[in-house]
Amino acid sequence: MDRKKLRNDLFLILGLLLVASISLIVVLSLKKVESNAVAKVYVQNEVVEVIDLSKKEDKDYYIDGLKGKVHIHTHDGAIAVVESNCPHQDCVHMGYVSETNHPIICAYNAVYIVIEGSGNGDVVIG
Amino acid sequence: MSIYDMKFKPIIPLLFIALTSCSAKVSGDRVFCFNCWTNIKLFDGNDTEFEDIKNILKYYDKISDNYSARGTTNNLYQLNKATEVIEVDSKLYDLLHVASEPNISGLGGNYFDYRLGSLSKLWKDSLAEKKILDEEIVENEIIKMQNSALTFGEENKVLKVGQAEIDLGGIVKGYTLDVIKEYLTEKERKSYIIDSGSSSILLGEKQTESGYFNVTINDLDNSYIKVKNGFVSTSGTSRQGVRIGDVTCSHIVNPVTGSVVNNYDAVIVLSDKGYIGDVLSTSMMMATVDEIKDSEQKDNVKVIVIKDKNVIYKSEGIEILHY
Amino acid sequence: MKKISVHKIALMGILTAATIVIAIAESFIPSIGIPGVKLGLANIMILITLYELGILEAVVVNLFRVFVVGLVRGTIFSMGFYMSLAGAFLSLLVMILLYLLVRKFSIIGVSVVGSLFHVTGQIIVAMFFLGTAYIFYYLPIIAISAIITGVFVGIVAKLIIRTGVIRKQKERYNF
Repeated sequence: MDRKKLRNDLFLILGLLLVASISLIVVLSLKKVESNAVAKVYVQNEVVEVIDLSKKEDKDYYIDGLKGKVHIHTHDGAIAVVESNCPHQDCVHMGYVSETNHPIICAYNAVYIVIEGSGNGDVVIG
Repeated sequence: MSIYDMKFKPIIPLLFIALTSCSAKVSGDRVFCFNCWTNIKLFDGNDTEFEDIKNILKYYDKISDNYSARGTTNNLYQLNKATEVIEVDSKLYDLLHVASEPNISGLGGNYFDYRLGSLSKLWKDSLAEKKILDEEIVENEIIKMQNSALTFGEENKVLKVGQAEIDLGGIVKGYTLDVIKEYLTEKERKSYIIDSGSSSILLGEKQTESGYFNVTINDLDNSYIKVKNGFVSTSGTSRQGVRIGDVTCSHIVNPVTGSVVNNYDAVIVLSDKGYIGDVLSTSMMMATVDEIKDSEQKDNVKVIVIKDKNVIYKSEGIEILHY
Repeated sequence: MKKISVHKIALMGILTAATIVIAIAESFIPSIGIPGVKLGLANIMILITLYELGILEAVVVNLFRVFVVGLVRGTIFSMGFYMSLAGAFLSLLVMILLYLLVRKFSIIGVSVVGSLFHVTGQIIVAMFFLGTAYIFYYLPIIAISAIITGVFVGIVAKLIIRTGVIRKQKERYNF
């Protein structure tokens, strides 16, 4: 009911929303569809599988996560977690991802998938 | 009061969106050809040039396709099917001339053969099932190959004798990049990267003082080389290798023995002609290091030979840098 | 030794029960991208406890909320539990600081900041468990959702306080 406090609140909220929106735009702009994309699958920060997405194969992978097997599927240059024994299935809900810097995370199994592009160089050979 | 302040706040996120979308106007485009994505980056080009380059790529993709006629009566598929003289597309005619040269590179015809079409397909299917191809089948195919040849006539007429299937996969990418380079030179464009499936790359000059592009080497850890105004080609196992038991088999077939090669993980060739880079990057996979050194001189190329993530040979003048 | 009023304890019991129920209900809602990062509606009761009953009381209710929900949902001592714990207490700490020291904001502002720090705490813990910073890619979208929920939570808390239900209890039983 204190007018002044409410006004401060408004500034605070708008300011925070602004910062969050800008960060969101930055994060979204980092996502790119690279033509020579490689998906790296990590289990607890160690790479267990490197998948070449530029081949556009339809393939299944079964990764041993912390609490069970995570079933990953690639299709047409995109990758998704199709099955997992995690309680919330957030990773499955994520669907197919083909952009870089858009990680798919199954925290329950400590499995995460990140797509990388050419990296530091201008182009990749091989 | 807060209401007046609010008026300006929405503008800032909008400005950012506008700015990021402006920088998102990347000087790049891509096209699916030769069974992979070719990424086109023109740093000093314009839209028509992108279209022209895409058209060149699509054209050569169509004429060199040996899986489908693609609506033509005169592409490679049609030639392979023909039992008598056929008039092929004129650009295909030229390409076939180059590809069927017995001494196409310093390594010679024992290392590159344009007649490997059907044997390659058989190996591809067999490796997909993680199996080694039968000796007998291999022998039959080699006999077929040796009994096959092309006779060139006038007005783009070609006669194919024998049962072998012609496959231009090992040369067409580099060859097409040569065509593109000519086009870009004609248009006086200097700064570009045409990357075909990460296995055949045409580089111009970077818009920096030194002009060198950083080319990351996928078959090594964290390494790159500096290249400008040339071609970089490779035939590595990293993207197309199949693991059978302990060995990673490549998709490359030795035309003499008929089996797939697995001497090296990858050979990277730096050349000033695209088709040579393409041909050598496959041929050198079957050669010994001495033979490679020999070809280096004859064909005026520089190479890097990689096995087990180590460089087992590299030409003088090549410096491998690390990130 | 000051005697703690039975009525106060009863009231705290109701608030704790309410927050636990809300927390359990919202744990069934899937979250955006990263598991374990919840809406934070349970904060309504924590806020009310903080404003109407006091700091220590809020800490106690919060503790109960984290442990009981963990036990009921079976996630206790798992990664999700530690995420909740970190989030709930980081959020409470910041809210207490704001409430005590920075008296410039109303309950809504405090709620928004609390909500924001709640998800931040959860993400930091998730980052330790996963071992990667990649999880921060989700922070912006989760932050926006947290801010919006924070406003909602703050308004609801304010409305409940305004009804005077708790104030009347306090006056009646003198605690």
